[in-house]
Amino acid sequence: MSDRRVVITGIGGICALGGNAADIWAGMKQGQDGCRPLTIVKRDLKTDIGFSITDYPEDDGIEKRQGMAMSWISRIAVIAAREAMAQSGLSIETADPSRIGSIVGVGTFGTDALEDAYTDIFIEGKKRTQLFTVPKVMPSGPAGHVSITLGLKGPVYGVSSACASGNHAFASAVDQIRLGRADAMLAGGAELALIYGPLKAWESLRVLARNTCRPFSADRDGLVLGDGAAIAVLESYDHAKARGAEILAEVAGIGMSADASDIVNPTVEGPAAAMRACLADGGLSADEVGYINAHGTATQANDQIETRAIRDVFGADADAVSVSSTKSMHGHCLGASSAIELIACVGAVREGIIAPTINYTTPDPLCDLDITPNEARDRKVDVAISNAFAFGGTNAVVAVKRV
Amino acid sequence: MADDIEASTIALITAQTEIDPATINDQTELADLQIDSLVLTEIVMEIEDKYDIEIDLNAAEAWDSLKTVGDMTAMVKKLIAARA
Repeated sequence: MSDRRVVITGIGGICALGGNAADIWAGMKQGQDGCRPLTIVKRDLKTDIGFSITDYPEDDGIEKRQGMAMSWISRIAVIAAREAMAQSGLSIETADPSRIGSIVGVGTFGTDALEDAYTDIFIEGKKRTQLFTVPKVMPSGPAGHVSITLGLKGPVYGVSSACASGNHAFASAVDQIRLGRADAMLAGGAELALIYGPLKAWESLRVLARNTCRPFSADRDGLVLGDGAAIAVLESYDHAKARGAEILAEVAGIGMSADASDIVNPTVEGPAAAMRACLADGGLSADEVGYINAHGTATQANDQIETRAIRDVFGADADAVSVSSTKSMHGHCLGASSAIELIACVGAVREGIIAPTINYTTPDPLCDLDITPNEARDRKVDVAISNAFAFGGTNAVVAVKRV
Repeated sequence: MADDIEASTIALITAQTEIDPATINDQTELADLQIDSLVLTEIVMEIEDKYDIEIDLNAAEAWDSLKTVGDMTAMVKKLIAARA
């Protein structure tokens, strides 16, 4: 492994908790519940809740010609990326644009554009789709639009691993920097889940909660979907130091694994292997980890299995580590989830505050970790890890530490 | 009608699992038929379509509350009765 250190110098986001990373973090600390009634045309949907974005800017500043070919998934990715870039102070006026890239993870694609196309053809009886349906739909659209908006000419592509896409994007971006292909990468995830077609498909799977998202609580009955995006500026430590950038946190380690078992049912071994790989990559011991941002989807299966996996990896230290699922507040934004959850991890190491798992009512003996119920807690955290365990059995864990 | 529901529920189960219907009765455990929670959800949806009923269960709850073939037919009968 290269010893090129990778740090975080900016982070931006937009989701149900707010239109920027500062508001999202403030919402997390307050235990704010971003779940609200769906505002889309519901047709025959039974689901009537979701974590929708309400703080989209009135003028998003996206140039008209570019905007004509953008799905909303790309718009929210661009908003998050612009915020991260601005915070980092990185500029293509002063840095070499060919040394800066972008990798954005998506669980799906431009779902709004595909839905519009089907509606136009099958329902409206139109003869053609909208002109830019192809570039709107493509899963690499968000990465491409981040590059176009910010003038980034280094490695730019999308990655996809369902609900772990954000963490896999961070992993890929860290690799580009460690391999010396880039000095900085705008990396994260974006997702538009609150669209009729995807919601209808999730309904069929029967894993959606009826009223609210209650991770780790015995009365949990499933996940609640959300829209969102978060993008971080990952940068080589030397590059950030040389330009005098403020370092928010260091990427301490990356761990990946696959269950190689079932497309939807998780194993204990796969997630445990990813957490172990992450600790090994960072040269970290379990007792250094003060906070685990859990995958914590609030399905019966995930939360039990994740508890067992954490116990397996952390052993006697498992009872001492603070755990929470911030999905209780921002929802399951699929490919964007782990990117949004990085905001909680960076906040934990910077401010010494653990964001809570809200809507918690009833202990589940099979989920017996300290899951930080309902209220944020003060705790000095040296290292935080962010878990993402996806359909497909594709697992990715990212560790951050204080610099 | 009741026996018909039983037979067609078993038919839907066997269609999903390629098991000989003759080997299945009310007491047969779903777990013994290699039915996991997702196959069960698929069967529940087939039953909903066939009888035009709505079974308000998520995948985990279905797995917890429906253990045997008899549990399934009993639930279907109850819902059909409620609809009528």
